[in-house]
Amino acid sequence: MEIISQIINGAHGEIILREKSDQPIELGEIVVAEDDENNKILLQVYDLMYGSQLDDKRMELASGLSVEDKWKDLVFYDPELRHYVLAKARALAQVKNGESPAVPKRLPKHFSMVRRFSEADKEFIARQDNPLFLGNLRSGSRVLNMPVHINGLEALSHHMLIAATTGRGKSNFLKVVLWDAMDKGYCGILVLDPHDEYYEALEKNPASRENLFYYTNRKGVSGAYTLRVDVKTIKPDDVTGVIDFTPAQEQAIIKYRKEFGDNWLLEIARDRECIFEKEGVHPGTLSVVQRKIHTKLGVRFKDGDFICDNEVFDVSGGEKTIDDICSFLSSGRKVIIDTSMLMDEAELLVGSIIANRVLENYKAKKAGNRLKELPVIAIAIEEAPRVLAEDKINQANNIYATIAREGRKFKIGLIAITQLSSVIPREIMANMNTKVIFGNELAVEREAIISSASQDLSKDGKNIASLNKGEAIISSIFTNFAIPVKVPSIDELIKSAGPRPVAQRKVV
Amino acid sequence: MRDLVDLALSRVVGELARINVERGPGKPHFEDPRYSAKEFSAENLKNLEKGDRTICFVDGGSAIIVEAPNFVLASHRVYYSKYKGAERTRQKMPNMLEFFSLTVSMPAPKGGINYETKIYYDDQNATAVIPDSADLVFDSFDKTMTSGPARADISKVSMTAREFAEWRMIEAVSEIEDAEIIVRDGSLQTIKTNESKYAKAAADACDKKGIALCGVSKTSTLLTTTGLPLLSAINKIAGDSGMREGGWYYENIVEINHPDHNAEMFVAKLHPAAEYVFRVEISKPSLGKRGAGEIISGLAANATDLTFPGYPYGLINSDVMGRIPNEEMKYQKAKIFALNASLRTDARARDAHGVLDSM
Repeated sequence: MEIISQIINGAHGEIILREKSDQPIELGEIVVAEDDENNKILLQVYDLMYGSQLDDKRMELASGLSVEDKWKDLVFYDPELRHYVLAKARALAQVKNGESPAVPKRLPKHFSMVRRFSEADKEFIARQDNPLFLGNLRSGSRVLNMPVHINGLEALSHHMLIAATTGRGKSNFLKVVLWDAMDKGYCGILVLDPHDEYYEALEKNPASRENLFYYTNRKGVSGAYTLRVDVKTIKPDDVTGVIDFTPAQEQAIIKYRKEFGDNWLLEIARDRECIFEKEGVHPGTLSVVQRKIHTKLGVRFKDGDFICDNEVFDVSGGEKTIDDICSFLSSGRKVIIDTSMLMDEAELLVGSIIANRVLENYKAKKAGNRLKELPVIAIAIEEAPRVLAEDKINQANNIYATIAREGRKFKIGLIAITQLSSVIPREIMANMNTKVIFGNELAVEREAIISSASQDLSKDGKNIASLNKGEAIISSIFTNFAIPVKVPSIDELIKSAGPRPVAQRKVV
Repeated sequence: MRDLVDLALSRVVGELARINVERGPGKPHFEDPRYSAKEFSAENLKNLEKGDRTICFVDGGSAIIVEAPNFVLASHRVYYSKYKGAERTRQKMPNMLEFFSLTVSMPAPKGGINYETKIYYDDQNATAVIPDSADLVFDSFDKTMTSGPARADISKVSMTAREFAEWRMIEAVSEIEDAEIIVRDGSLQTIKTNESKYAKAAADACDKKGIALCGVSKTSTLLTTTGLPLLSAINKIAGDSGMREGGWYYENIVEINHPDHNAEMFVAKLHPAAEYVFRVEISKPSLGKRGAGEIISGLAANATDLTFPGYPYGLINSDVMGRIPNEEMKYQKAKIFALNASLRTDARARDAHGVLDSM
């Protein structure tokens, strides 16, 4: 193996390497320091700087002579010895005699020679049960032929945060994860897709016919299910979790629920008399609730009939939709709901209804000691701060916050996608036990992720800022160290999978 | 108070300007009658030619590890680098050799005190540069090492071993390397007792191989008969002669007939961008085979480093590499004291400057 640098100085967490002149080192690159006793220490470069044997004034003078172009014959003698690059690195993992990787508790030997990480160092990437593909190992910008997996069963139930600015590869990453998970029965994944961008790619997966279910209101999409939800399947908790109601309004809703059961929403819409006025429901309160139900869900009562202005919610159909979706998910299938035609709250409400049902179902299974045999269910939600921001998580019945806090006990996790990690409270961030960190130029966003990462990424600010599209860092309690990956394009996976086999969709 | 200081300083500056303006260059001044100075003439200025030469640069450094009134333990390093023009080339022998010396005061056989130096080393390659112990025995009042009536400073005497080793390094390099020029840092004149023996051996070895032996001095105390610095006077002549735009050298400064200084003296500006001119000496036998122009131009071809234009880079490199860093000296000192703690007490007898310096 070719030597690329040498450890010359530093401290634990800040090891200084002197770069060999013809072997440039990259920010984020993984390198290996090896000693005579078969110890291998994996180092990751987090900062690069110039080093020189010359003092600043001398360099400034030399530069002046050079840039002013007066003396063309003047050159730097022994340039490779006098001017060089120094890299700051930190130890990621240590392996001795091919054993499992461990957190390094000692420094590599002083003046250890350092080489590049290669496929031969596979012992650093531990094998995982229930492997879920996250990308290929990346060293700087060099992509190795080493797929990185995480224990999907564990990681999905312990929540995943996908953080990046626009265009860095968040959606592609989720597509890749879904692609890999498509035929894996240990997880059901629900995707609320506000841009309707997932199905087109994922339906090309060879296993999609049996395992992918797509709900949309778009007409003429072959193999798709119509997204229609009977309002009678909506429970007060579903609504109060995503729509702001005052305590008095919530009290009114509860009254109607008690009195009318599953028809509570319709009866609220119908009530012109304020039938519970004597029991404390103010007509004005009822009127506001009715207006909110109308504007957010589209349900109203007019000329003796219930009318639903919204294509999703229905007063006379879609009674099985939620049960079907829950059934798909709890059998390890993947469900994509096209919410591109829906208003914000309607999208969240659909997710909320499903999440509530799934959680209720899994709680019951746990009580009956049958949770173990069920797959983990993950709910992927774009623009996660809509439900996980500081002012949202304490909202009564916010099912997303509930899942973020205690979903893992019931094998239900969130896949939260966001550009704004900084508005998600630390408590929730800390519960996101796997973070997929893409490039982000905003220091405040990087800081929010770094401060809640499962590994110490305090020195990775520049590294994160410099990540190109598709390059990410996986920080997880289920990995030995923060793993840099390059997420392949979903198009590459589609291409390598070849044409989808012709088969009829299995009726579930 | 500040105003008074400023006033005094401005007077000093004015006086210096007046001196330089009023005095003419005179002619080179040498006190020793074995040096016959020649009149200044612009005709002695020569342009440099182009041409890369294979040059070896020799230098060394010493560090005193323990110093007591009666002994000095010192660490020494001699080093050489090899360049063809601006390019470093691979040397054929180990180019960094190290040894220790112990200089002690001993009763002289005929009375008085001698300083005797013994050398210690592990690296067998160093054998090639180690001077003969018999040449490192000096009367403590040896005139070549004293200044005034006092006994010679034992620490200065301890440096002699390295100075002789540098000459031996030149000899070894001339025998093994395919050099055209060998350059040492400083003059070719020998001063200390027994030094000429080593200098002559080095010069003879170079002569035998047709190698030009040179010395380049960074500093010069030489003056003209009007009391001006010799190098400044020559630089002014060059400037007045319209040679500001190019590199040049000046010959016919002095005819040297000193047995311990068998060299021709030149002053050279090795690059047009140079801020300094240097005294260059060339061993007389060398000039029989190569002209001064070829030799000094060879130096100029190695004096194009951006950080110090006009100074041979090989000498910069040899100076840096030949030096023993303070940290290394401290480490060696700590090791010595660990081996023998009583040496610390001996060292205290020498002086207490270190205590005052730390206050």
